Amino acid sequence: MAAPKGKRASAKKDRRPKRKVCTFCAERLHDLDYKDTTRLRKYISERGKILPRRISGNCASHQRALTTAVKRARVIALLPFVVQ
Amino acid sequence: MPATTTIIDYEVTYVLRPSLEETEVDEKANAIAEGVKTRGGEVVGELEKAGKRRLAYEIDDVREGYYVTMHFKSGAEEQRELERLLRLNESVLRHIIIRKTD
Repeated sequence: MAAPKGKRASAKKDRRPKRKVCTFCAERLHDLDYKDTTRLRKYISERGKILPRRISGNCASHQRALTTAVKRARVIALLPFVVQ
Repeated sequence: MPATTTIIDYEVTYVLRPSLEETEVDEKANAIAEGVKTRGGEVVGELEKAGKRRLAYEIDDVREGYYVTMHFKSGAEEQRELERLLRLNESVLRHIIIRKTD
């Protein structure tokens, strides 16, 4: 996705990142399980923060489902609130 | 009009202390399930024991716990009672009761 290095300055104007497709929509998954940490871990940063839509490319409704799932997982110590 | 209780689908997950033996885990989990049944709730399906898992953060100086998930149907009153029991239960490190949507 990243533009070639040499083109960087000139590419500024037309730098429109490729539209990402929501991974949950692609999989036709409706409910997100808060116990499925292997899946949820893909959407949190190294610090334990939830990645924004801008980065994850999720659609709004799945992003909302994702946040509740991550927050539930944090309550029962399946995911961290903060790292370090 | 008589008071009718709406039956709701719930899912509860709790974490038991790692110092327990496997048999004790089964005992505690069954006791909790029994608690729901005696109060008029209906346990749906089997208890899902995820076994000993690493905690994402330390709780009471421990870093692991036994995860158990149970599905049940009951009114809100029974759910609140379960919540109370889980809070009082010393073996339960963390618990979460969610309302299932589907």
